[in-house]
This record gives sequence, C-alpha cells and structure tokens, in this order.
Amino acid sequence: MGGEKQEPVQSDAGEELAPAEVARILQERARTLAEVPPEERAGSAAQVVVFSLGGEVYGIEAGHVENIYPLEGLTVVPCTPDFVAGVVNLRGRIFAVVDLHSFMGLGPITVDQNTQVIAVNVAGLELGLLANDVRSVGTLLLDQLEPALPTVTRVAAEYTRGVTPEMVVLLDLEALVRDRRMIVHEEVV
Amino acid sequence: MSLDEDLLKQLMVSFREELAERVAAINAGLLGLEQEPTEAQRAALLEELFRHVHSLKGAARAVSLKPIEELAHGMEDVFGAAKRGTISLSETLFDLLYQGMDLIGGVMASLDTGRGIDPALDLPGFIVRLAAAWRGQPIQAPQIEAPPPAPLAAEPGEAPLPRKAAEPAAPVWSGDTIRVPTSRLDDLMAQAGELLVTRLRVAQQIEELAELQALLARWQKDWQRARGSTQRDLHAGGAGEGAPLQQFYLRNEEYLRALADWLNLHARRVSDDATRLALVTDQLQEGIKRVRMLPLATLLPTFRRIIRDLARSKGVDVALEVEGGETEMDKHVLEQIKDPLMHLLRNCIDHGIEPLAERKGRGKPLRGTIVLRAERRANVIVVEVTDDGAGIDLAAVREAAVRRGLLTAEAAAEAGEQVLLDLIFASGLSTSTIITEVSGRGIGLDVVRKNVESLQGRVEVRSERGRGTAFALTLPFTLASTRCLLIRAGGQPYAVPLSAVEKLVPVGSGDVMVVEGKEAIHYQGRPLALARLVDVLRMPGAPTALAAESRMPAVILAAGGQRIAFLVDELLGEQELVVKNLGRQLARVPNIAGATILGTGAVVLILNAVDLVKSAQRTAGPTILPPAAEPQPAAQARKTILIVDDSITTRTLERNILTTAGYNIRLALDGYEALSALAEGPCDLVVSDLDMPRMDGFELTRQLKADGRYRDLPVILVTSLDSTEDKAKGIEVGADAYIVKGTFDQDNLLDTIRQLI
Repeated sequence: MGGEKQEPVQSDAGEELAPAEVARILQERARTLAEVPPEERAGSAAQVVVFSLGGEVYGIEAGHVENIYPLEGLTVVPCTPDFVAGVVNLRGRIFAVVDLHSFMGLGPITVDQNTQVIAVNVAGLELGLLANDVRSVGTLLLDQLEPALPTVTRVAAEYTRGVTPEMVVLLDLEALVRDRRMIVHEEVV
Repeated sequence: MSLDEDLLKQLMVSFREELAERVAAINAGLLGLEQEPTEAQRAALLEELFRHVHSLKGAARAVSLKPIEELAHGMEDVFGAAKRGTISLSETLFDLLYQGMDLIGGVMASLDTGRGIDPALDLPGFIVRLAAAWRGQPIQAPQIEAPPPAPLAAEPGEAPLPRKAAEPAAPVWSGDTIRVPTSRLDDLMAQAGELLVTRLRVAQQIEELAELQALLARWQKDWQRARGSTQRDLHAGGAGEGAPLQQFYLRNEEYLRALADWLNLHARRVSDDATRLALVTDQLQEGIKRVRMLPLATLLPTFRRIIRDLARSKGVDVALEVEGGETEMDKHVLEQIKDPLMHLLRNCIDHGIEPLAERKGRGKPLRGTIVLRAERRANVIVVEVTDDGAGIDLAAVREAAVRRGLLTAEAAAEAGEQVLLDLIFASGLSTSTIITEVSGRGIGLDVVRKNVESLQGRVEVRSERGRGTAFALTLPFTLASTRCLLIRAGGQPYAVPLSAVEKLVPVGSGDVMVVEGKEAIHYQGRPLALARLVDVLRMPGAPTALAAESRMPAVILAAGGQRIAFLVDELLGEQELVVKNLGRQLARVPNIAGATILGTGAVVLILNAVDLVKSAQRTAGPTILPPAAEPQPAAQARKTILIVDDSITTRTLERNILTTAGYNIRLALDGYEALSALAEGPCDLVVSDLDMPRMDGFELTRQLKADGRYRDLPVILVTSLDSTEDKAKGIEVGADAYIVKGTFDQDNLLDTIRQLI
C-alpha cells in the first residue's frame, strides 16, 4: 500500500507529468486543503435521531443507533440504580434499558404505551435508551449549536455537545457512557 | 523466519498437549508398577513406559527443548534396562522417576514465565543422579527367568491388558479421534442453547394456535346457532335462494369452514414439526453436552500421585478407592472441581487418617481408606470424599472459632454440630492448626466452597468422631443450560437454579417464630431464618403479611454454609433454561446471576443463590407475621385434624388439601387406630372414611360420641356412596357432617371443617 504513493505521478489520462507541473498541482492542492472549504465553514452536518424525553427534546448521533423498538415486556432488574429501567428482549438479545433522564439527575420519566427503546452501540457498549417519543431522523448543522448553558437546559454541559436553535439538546453519548456510574458492577459483601 | 516461528508456535501447542498426556500416562504406569503387578503386567507396563518416554524424547527434540529431551533420554535408559531385566526398580528409583515427571512440569512452567528454564531446577544434576541410581544398582538376583516380554500383540487375550493395572486410560491419540479446541465446542454448545429458545417459542406458538382454534370453534358454534333463525328471517323478509344477502350468507359459511379446516391442518403440522424439532434439539444438545463430558477418572492419575507422595511423607498407609469413576461431567465443571477435590484428598491425609500407632490403638485397620465416589442423581452430580480417619474434633472447632472471633463464647457453647461443621469452611478457620493446616499448598476449605459455589453447586460435610469424615459436593450436571425453578415474587417471575434449592416448604403464620428478633421457621429441628424474597431484592411494593389460614411457599436456598428460607408468592414450575448475561452495562448486579428468554419472549432473571443468602443475612425487612392483634394467635390457630382412611390415595389427597389450608394432620388407617391415636393426643376434628377393616366409620363415630372425652369432637364422615340410607345411619350414630366423595372437592371439605371448628 505504502509503496504506491511513490510511483511516478500520472495525469488522469494516464500520461506522465513533468516535475514542474506536479509541483504546481501539489501546491495548488495544499492551498485548497489549508483553506476551510466554504461548505464546511457553513457547518459540518451530523445525522441525528431526535426524540423527546421527560418533556425535553434530545438528539443523539444516528451512527450510534442500531434500531428503534416500541417498549414491550420490560423486566425490572432489582438491586440496580434508579436509572436502569430494566432489561428487554430485542429480537432474541437481552438489552439493558437505561433512562437517561434519570441518569442525568432529572428524575425518572413516565413510561406509557408510546414509550420506545432506542438500541444504541456506543464504543462497543450495547444499550437500550428510553424515549417518550422518537420525533425524527434528520441532519443537524453542528456550527449552529450553542453551548448548553444552565439557562437553556438543565442537562449538565459535560453530557452535551450543544443545543440547536430549535432547542434540541444534542447529547454526547460517548461522554455519558464514559461516566463511571453508567456501568453497574456491585458485589454483595 | 516468521514462518518458522509460527510453525514452532504451532508445534509447541501440540507438544504441550502431547506432553500432558504422556506425563499422565507415565505417572499412571509408574503407579501401576508399584502395585505389585504380575510378571506379564509388569512387562507390558514397562514396554508402555519405555514407549512413552521414547516418544517424549522425539517430540521434545522436534521443538528444540533440549532439557526435556535429555531428561526423557535418561528415563528411557532406566526403563530400557528394567525392560531387559538388567535392573529392578527400587523405591529410590521410583521416587526419582516421579521427580523427573515433576521436573518436566517445572520446566514447562518456567518456560511460561518467558525467562527460560529456571536453573534452580538443576536438570543436569538430576540426570546424573538418575543415571547413578540405576547404574550403581545392578540386578541382585535375576528373579525373572522369562525372556524379555514379547510385544503385546503376540499374546492376544492371554495376559490382562496393561491398562488394568495402570488404571484410567490416558487419552492416547488414535486414528479415529480428532482434537478439537474447547472453544469450538463452547460455540456449538451456545448455538444448541439458542435452539432451545426457538423450541420454547414454537411450543408457545402451538398454544397460541390452539387458542385460535378454540376461538374459531366458538365462532362456528355461534354461527350454527344463529343460522336457523336468521335464515327464517331472511326467507320471511322475502329473500330467496338467489338473493345477494342469502348468497353472502352461504359464502360466509363456506369461508368459515375452509378457515377452520385449514387452521386445523396447519395446527397439526406445526405440532408435528414441533415434536420433531424437540426430538432433534434434545438429541443435539445431549450430544454436544456429551462431547464435552469427561469421566471423573481422568483426574485420578494426578490424585493418586498426590496421595502417594503425601502418605509417604506423613508415614501413613492409605488406599484410595474410587466408585463411579466413569461418571461423566462437563469439562469445565471437572476443571473447576479438580483443585477442591485435591484439597479435600490432602485434608483426608493431613487431618483425617491417623498415624499407624493411633489406628492400631483404636483397633482400626492399619491401612486407612479414602473413598472418592461420584454419582449422577437426576440433574446433579454428587462427588463425595470420605475417609475412615479421626473425624472432625468439634470441641477444637469450637475453641478455634472463639479464638478467631467467629463466634462468641456463649454462641460457641450453644452451637450445634451442623453450625460447627459449617464453620470449618469459614476463611478465618481454614488455616487453623486443628482442622486444615495444609501449609503452602494453595487453597483452603473456604476456597473449596467458593469454587463449588461459583458452579452453582454446594458443599456439605458430615463427620463422626473417631469414625471419619465425608465431604459431599453437589454440582450441576452441565453448565450451558441449567435446570431452574420458576417462582413469582412481587408480581414478577424469577428463576432459581435447582442445584441451589434445598427444599420447598409451605409456610403459614403459625409456622413463624421469632428468634433473637428475627423471623424464622422450624427446619430439621432448628430455627431457620425466613425472609421475603422481594425484601431481599429490595423491590418496592406493599408487603403482604402472612395470613393465618393460608400458607405461602418458601424456597430454602443453601449457600456459603448458610440456609435461608425465602418466601415467594407462587411456584410456577421447573424448566431447563439457557443462562445469558445481562450485557456489559449490567456487568455485576447483586443477587442476579443472569437472565433467560422464555418461549413467550419474556425475559426472566436468574437469581444468584450465593448472593441472596448473603444479602438476606443483612436485610431487615418488614415483619412477615401479621400484626399481633391477639397474643400468639398463630400457635393457637393451628388445629389438628385426624384423617382416618384405609386408602393411601385418599389419605394423601386429604392430607395435602388440609396441610395446605394450614392444619396439622395426623393419620390413622382404620377406626381402631384412630382410637389409639386419639388416646395419644387430642385432636380438633376427625375426618373418617366409612368402609375400613377392623372398625368402620360408623362404629368409630358411635364409640367416640359415646365416650365423654370425645363427645364434642366433631366427626366428618366421607364416603364414596351417595346412599340416603348411609347418610341417615351416619346422622343416627352422631356424625357432625357427611360428605360424598363424588362431590368431594377441596372447598366442600374445607367449608365443612371451618363450620365445625
């Protein structure tokens, strides 16, 4: 693989290029690369899944989302923290279901027949996230994000990547999963 | 270069496997030689030993392990000479040969550390000593006149097979076997486990189909009933045969019939397929399980070695007897119990079997016996290690427990035998001098218990002073799927591995007593702590107090040397379950071992018995007894009923109904026995059959009512005959109630009893 880059430079048509011409092209490319392209400047976009949870509207990156299911047959797991809603069977696999609202210290949400489970995979950790209602899957322009100030949202800034003008709180799932409280590991002494 | 390294790595893997097998075979062969074999056996054993060390030498050379090659070479010389009859193997030589085997293990272990062979092992020195030992010892008198043994094949069926002496056949590679990595079997096992889930789901579908059939059947019935009248109405309304409504009506009927036929056919097919699927999955699972099974005997060579060495060093004479060595168990289970068993065997010699003089003084046979017994019982395997030694000195345990602060002096004085025996598993005590001092040999009895419990099994100990000690390990038969008891608590179903369940008992408020402020029931003559499962699981919900008149099931779990009775709402049944974990986020949840998916798709949590017992000792839940409105209502509320019947079926049926309803029960086979039973102790009510040998129900009632002591004792007569004549006669002799067995349902009997007492 590495060797290929050192081969004589050829034009698209396949003919060999003069060294001066090569240098010119490379310089041109370097300049272009150094410049932030106008599109990027307007804001890189992220695919997000937008859902409501305990009265607020949140977004998570769609890349983490494996599937969305209606919440059915939740089995409550005793001796777990309050934010663990229980476990469910999603297509033959057992998923732990987490109430992020509760995890972020905002109190447990009310589970009803419209509640859904968003199955996510964050850095190899598979989880089900409770959602009162999954609103949409759409594109979000990252540069329009405002910092999540306490005046805007009750969610701690460490768990967010920002808030959109539409007041969607974009959650930082990686940060949430990195939180040591997320993993339940308790022995009986 | 790297190809060679790769190749060498691969070679090392197979070399290690071969080495392990050969070492085991050589150990077994040596042990066989020591047990005074016949000449033919001896020759065959030597031949085999020679072959093993020779092959070992070649294999070591192939992976450039010079030290092992040289060691094997040295041993080959010894066996060669012994084979030729130039030397005989002395005890010193045996010891050296065993040491050689240990050295090989040492070499491999030091290679694992990556720092090369530990010079402290002094292999060259050993080889010199070995050579000196056999060269310096020429044959004293050629006891063997026979020429060197002919190859085994030359005497077919004549001499006993060499393996007979050198017991368990070490797995020797032969053409029709394949080596498979255990991980591949584990994968297969997991896949087969998944099939079990599918099968449960199909079973569920059959039930749903049956419901669908029933629904359709109701519809058809309704339709038929409505048909006559509707058709009359249609005719009356002027609709002729050809009218659209009439046609629609007929078509509908056809659709319905076709639907029913089709559904029934479909249901039958699904049911057939399910039966086949069940059969195949059963066989498949059983087959894969069996592939992973190894007989207990595979551990024996190691055990025999240890017992031999230890007995020699302690100067005691011990024989190891094995019963059920062919009992197979899962490889993983076997690996997990190897160390615990080894420890128990060592314990037998260290603390069980007395020195020769002491045994002589007690009139015991000089040779001590250790029995290793394995047995499959239903879904568990029980492995027992028994010795005929001194037994456990309970007084010493008591003293040590106080010294180590495990018990207060008062508690120790009161502690019963079982409590004290359980204490020897406590970690503080396992190093104590009296019980289990096994210096520097790895694990103590607390670890034995931990290992066994990590397999969801349990350990029990029995001991009789001067007679011996027995340790029993109860282990699950297999690990992939576990036989579980399904229960309901706090409205949610849970599963408990059956191997941890000691007993199921019904508990009513009358059974509960308070011991040192904690609620308990009577179990095996001792108080046993009682806890509500929901409380231990810290599940919210209104705790229901036990009612006096009804009983709730309690599951007695044994773990960590403790037993606790857990009250549950309901017993749901028994099922083979595939244990899954809860995922990485729920890495370790207290009291929960895992989960399973039932045929319905529901997730059911599997409880961790070890955790539960620990947690229960810590939980102070709300009281189980109903608030004490009247002092000790329970003890007084328990009424005793005497059941008199010559039919065991009826007796059992009645006893079950009445026990469940919270009554104490006494039994008598006929009127005659009933009278003597009453003479022994009072009852609150008598339920009697009519036709019985010796004294029938009428006569019993007549005598009771005529006797001043029993005049007020209510009598219920139960009969299979609904004869007005008998009824009249029953009333005439003074019976308080008369129940016909045909109408004999439990409510009827219970209502009658409640009216009377």
